[in-house]
Amino acid sequence: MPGDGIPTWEEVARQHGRFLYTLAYRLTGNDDDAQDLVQEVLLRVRRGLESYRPGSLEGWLSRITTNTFLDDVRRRGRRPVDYLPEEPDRVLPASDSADVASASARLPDHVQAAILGLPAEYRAAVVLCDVVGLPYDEISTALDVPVGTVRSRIHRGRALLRKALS
Amino acid sequence: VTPDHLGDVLSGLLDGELTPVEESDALAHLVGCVACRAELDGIRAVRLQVRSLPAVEPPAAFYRQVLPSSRPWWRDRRRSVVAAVAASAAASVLVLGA
Repeated sequence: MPGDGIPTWEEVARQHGRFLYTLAYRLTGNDDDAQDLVQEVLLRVRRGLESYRPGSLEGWLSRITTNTFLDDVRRRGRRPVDYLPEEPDRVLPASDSADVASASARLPDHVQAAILGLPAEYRAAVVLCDVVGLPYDEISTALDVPVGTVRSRIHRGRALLRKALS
Repeated sequence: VTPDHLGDVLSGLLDGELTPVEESDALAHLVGCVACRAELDGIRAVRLQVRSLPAVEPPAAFYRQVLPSSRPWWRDRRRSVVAAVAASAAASVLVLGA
């Protein structure tokens, strides 16, 4: 990345493709939706590069990605925070005692499934905090909600994950 | 969450997002509150599980299909017709050759 200048579109896509894909995959939980999401993000990035202020590029990309994701969820007619799975456990893969896959191989899928069981706005907050590693003030900017709301969403999301994974 | 317990302050504590005063108040509360200590342990464990998730390597198709759209606009415009013709020719070759 060239010092403190505005990155070119090509640099963003080439150097941050894996970062964007990982973020999109953690939010959507499958390859098709992750690729669609990244594609939409790249279009928005291309249109909005001039509004990028040198600083946290990953924070900026994370903001665009989560907003694109949340817009998509809303467009599909779900109300993100109100949508609560009745039984969080149902989103987990059925356990199969005959499955010989190692626990370590299964564990990430198990966690990913639990993340997908979260209401979209809690999911976005948890992913920005624990997958991307953004501080609360950057998450607040990304989601356009107060820092107190960020903390509340992260905590409620973790509490639901804890229930789903216990 | 009842005011007697820390609730989302626990996440703030784990994430290093409390002020020094809030942090010392929270730690003082934890000394005397079994319920909050248990919740802290549970939240800490899931936080670690999510933070331990690996980066996801995109499939090869991602680099072929998604990233090519990342060419600068000027190159896209100038080459879009040529690229479209080339792409459809390549597709025909693939279909015929399959």
